[in-house]
Amino acid sequence: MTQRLIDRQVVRLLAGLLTMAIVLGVWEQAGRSGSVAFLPPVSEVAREVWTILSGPDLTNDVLPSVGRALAGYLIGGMAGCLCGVLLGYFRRLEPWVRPSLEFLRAIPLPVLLPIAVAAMGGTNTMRISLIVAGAFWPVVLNAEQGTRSVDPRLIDSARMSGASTFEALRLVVWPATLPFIFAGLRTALGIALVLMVVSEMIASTSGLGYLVLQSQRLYAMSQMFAAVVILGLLGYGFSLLFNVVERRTISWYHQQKGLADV
Amino acid sequence: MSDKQPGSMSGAVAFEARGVAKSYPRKDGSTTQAVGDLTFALHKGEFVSIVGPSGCGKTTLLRCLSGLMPADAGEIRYAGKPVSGVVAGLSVVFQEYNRSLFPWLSVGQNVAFPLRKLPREESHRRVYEALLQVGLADVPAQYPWQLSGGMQQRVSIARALASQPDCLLMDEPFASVDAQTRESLEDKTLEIWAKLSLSVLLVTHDIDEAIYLSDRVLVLSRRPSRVIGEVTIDLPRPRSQVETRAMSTFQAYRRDIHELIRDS
Repeated sequence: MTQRLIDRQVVRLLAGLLTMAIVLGVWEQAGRSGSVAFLPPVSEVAREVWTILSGPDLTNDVLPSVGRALAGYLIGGMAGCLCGVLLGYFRRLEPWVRPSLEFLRAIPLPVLLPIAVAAMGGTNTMRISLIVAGAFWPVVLNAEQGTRSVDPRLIDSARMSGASTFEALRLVVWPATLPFIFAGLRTALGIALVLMVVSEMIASTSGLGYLVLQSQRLYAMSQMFAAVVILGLLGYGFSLLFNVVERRTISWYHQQKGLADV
Repeated sequence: MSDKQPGSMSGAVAFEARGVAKSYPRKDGSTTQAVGDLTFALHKGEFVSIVGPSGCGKTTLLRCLSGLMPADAGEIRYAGKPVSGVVAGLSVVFQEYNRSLFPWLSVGQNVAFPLRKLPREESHRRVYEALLQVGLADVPAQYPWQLSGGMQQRVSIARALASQPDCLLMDEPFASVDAQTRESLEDKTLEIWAKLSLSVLLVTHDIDEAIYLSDRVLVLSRRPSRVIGEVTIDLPRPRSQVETRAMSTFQAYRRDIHELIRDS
């Protein structure tokens, strides 16, 4: 890396931090002056974030949320990969399931919440199921589209090299579809977090969604904002982790597209 | 280059198509007859090219011959046995190297793909040999898309050679590279053909290339394609890009084949 490139990155970082500092400064000022109703100063919120992360709230609310989001995301994502790839590869399945899929995916997901509560009660199973349903759709649709767009020449090449139908699926169609699957998984990540929060706002006694709602009801404004900040940090952390996994898994794809170091 | 002479084949048939026909459905429900009634034989150790007007169903033909797609009628025999499905001993080099090499595998892994059932050491040895044949022994860790077009096509030739076939089908393998690379790939192919005693069937639309490489050139008609002419190329080997192409007999072959295609 050249000195110039490093300089440019430092400038970019400083610019980003400066904007953040201005926003936080304005927030702090507005909070202290009391000119905005129910807005605590950011310093108070930061203290509250620390209290949550270092106290019993960590195990009562933060970790359960993380667990639910991860479990639902992973199950929904894997189910989506599997269904999408099979659906895309074995085209004869498509006419059988297409209309049902189109109908189901058109249903706005939060509306499933009352149904899930009715069916499963205020349980972890209910919350995870909702997240599974949300994470499933973008992945299944992307995986299906990706599988269908695999170059038939690649499959021909595999078959000429003695690959069976199943081997062609495993060794060629699957890796060729991975960039599409990752695109779906990225969308699913956001949806999983939204549904995690929403599911914790009904019939719940734990989780960050519960904490936000409960703090609001008790007028514990610093705590409410602190929970929101933690949710933001959580989303950001998941996203960074996702990038690392994606880079490792399909580095060939990004390098080929010349996007390796963006 | 070898000093191999045309007609030095034993006369045994490596590959044979008899009355092969294939049509495919179109969007409007009708069918297009791509291959009409195709009969020819490729002898062991022979280099035969198939040329024809554009849209004569060459790719369909090649997919039938390689066993990737069943023919509607007729029979294809490889080493005397009827072909139904992909046959070991028969390799294909496709035109679009960038669409037939696996971008997520390195060059070495691509060449090793047909060898995945062999023990690791045997596979390594064969990958190295195959890459050596095409002059690319120094790039196994790179990815195909990091290489030039000509090098990528050499990788796909190496992959085709790795399974140690005795028959090679080539679908316009030099159509997507520049003229100079093309000449060196042609000579490389001749060198490998002679060294490994391969039987090669090359499908191309380039008449000069067909003459330069082959012992025999088969001329196809328009769709539905069938063989409308056969020209035995009696040019000395080893062939040279400069001298062979300048020979008066070369020009005569070119004229003959042009006329056959024009009248088709």
